Amino acid sequence: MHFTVSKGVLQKGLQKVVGVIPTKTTIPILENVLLDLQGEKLKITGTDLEICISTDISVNGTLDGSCAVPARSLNEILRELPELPLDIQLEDGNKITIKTQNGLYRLGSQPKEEFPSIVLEDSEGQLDIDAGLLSRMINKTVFAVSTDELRATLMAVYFQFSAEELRCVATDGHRLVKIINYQVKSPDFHKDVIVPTKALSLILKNIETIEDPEKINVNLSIGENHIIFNMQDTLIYSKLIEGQYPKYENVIPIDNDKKLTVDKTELSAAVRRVSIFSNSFTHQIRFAVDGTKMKISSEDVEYGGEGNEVINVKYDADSLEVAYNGVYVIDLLKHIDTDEVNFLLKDSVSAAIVTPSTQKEKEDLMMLIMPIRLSED
Amino acid sequence: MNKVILHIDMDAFFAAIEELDFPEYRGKPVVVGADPKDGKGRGVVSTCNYEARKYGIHSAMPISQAYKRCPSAIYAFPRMKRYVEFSKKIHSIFYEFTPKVEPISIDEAFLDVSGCIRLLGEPVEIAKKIKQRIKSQTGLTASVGVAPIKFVAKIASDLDKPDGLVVVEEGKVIEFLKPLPISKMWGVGKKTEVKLKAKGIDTIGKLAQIPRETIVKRMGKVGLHFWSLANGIDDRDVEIGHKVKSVSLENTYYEDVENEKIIEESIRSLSDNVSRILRKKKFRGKTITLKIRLGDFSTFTRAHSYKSLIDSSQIIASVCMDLYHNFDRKGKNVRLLGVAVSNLNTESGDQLGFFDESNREQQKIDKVIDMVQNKFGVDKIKKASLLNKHSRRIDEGDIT
Repeated sequence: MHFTVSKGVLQKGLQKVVGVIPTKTTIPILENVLLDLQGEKLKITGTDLEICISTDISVNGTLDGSCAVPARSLNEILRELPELPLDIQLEDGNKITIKTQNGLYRLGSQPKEEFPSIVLEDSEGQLDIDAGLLSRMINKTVFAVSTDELRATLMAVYFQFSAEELRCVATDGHRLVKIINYQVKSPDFHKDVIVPTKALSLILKNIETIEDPEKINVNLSIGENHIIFNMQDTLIYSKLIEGQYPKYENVIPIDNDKKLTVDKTELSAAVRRVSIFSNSFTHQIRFAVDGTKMKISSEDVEYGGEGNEVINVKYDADSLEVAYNGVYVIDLLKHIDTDEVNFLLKDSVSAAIVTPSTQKEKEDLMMLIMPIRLSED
Repeated sequence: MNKVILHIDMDAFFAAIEELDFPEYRGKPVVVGADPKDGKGRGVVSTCNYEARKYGIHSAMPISQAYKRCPSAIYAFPRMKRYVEFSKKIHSIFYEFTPKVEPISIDEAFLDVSGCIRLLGEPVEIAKKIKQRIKSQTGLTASVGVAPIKFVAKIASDLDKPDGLVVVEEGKVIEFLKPLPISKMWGVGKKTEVKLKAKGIDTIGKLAQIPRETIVKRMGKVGLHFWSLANGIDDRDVEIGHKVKSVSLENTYYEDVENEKIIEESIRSLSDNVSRILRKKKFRGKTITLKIRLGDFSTFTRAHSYKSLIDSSQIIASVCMDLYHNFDRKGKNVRLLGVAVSNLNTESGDQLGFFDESNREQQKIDKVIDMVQNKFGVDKIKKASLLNKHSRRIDEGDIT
């Protein structure tokens, strides 16, 4: 294998892949990326055995070949180098050299055969989504996934493809987001899949590097146990999480009849300030709404801190007091695009429905948040 | 007004109760702890009386060693129920003097009497009254340390044992601490002691004289803490209503165990019991810890933390099982196993969840077992996997 390439091009390609490399692994080969040169095309591949990313970059190839090289060392030397042409060659056996005008760097390498190869199964269906829209669907949901290994299916976003819509759902058991897009239809297949958070973060990172994502199509191809996202020169393969996603429809309340409308920025700012004085374990803040006023308060019995603010709201139901985790409230509000936000409430122990005051065209965004039980005092 | 803190520590508590209940023990060395089995016994000394201490026996010493030092001593098995009775009596005496009581263990407490001086007299008088009350009500003796700060009160109570009373007045704290060996510092264990001595710091006075910056640079936050104590700075209040930090249970086998089945059964049984205590006390915790002590006394802990709060016996057991199976005991046998749940939160301020119901089956099982056990006793109902008792154990529990 022998090729020349500018440092910038190689670095950009490697950046797309390096995020998948596991930080702690008992399988040393996974700390490598596979370089595979065919003609003028260099394919860079990384994997953690669950997810695999490969990206193609253009190089001046002189001799086809392939090998696996340590991702971190390669990444670090590229970071330290100025923009320069690099001459990269696989020496006989197990070394790869990177030559610049003044320097020569040598890394250990391993034969391609040592690198795990992903066996692609047949796909059951395909569809195209514009990268901007896909990024929006992921961004609006992925923040609400669980990070608790207790339930693996919740450490993921649930994608539901159907002839009418694409629906994405995420929840950690305490809050839930559901976003539906009626533009994205898959008339040929109907399938529900659970896609791990890590794969989605990598997709977001890749889309961020695209200049005009709305103009780029991502091709999704879904099989029994995997999903592939194919965009421009990059292909992201991920195993799906096995198991049953919880029946989230059942927890969406239908009898929340107390409607509260608040200015999003004002509420968010007040919650941020009041949260500073909440208990650091529960982050509990209270909403006490009565007529056109809502009092947001917190109290940390342990350290004696407390805070409260009163803001104006639109509300005409019976007065109500309910407590939430302030961090969750701030998170939800961040993902509301409109100036006003609606809360549909029932009582102090039931989920609240949170929605933007007006929905975006061909979209339906809904969030749920569970309260914290009010201490009896 | 200046603070007046009392540290009250019962003298050889368990052994003293044994002597009280069995007059024939009096004047003889008494060791409360595991069965010495003619020197082949396992387990450790819980407490021993002052007669036994003359032979070099002390708490936490392996019982086999104690036996070597004094085979003729009286060896008594602990009767926790009886000791708890006494403990309750003593603690209720404390509350007769002040509501500001911080119980530290079964036989030890801090009292803040700053507010009762006008009512009850000088601190030394209060201390004497408390000692008298304990003596007349229970027949036992206590040692008391009086000081303006907790840490000094604790050292003072230990200086003149048994039946001691040491008063350190405001303004004399540094003078009092100066000559004391560094090992008397609260929190200085064997390792820290060696480290400090290597630097020529063998008394609390010498530690106090080191410039603050130097100690921070060399030993960081811990160093600063010790330095502050050495300089008589300890702003910790007597904490009323001791906060529970963890629930744990451990057992030492009568013989070191190799059999995986027995170990797994112990893990399930300990997990079940820890879970039961948690539910009874309405605690749930995030961190589950498994403690393993091998035949050569090497001790390991392995922990796993969740982001959510847990009290289910099934989860605790399965986590501990995983922790155990990922632990390599290198062919050595197991001497002791322990299960702990920490990072606790109580019921109020409980984050509600959408899918709480999906765990309901397991919760129902735990609840029914709790009900039966609370009503008829722990051995009346058990999970089938725990029915097969392979080996007897000594169970020791702790809520700290």
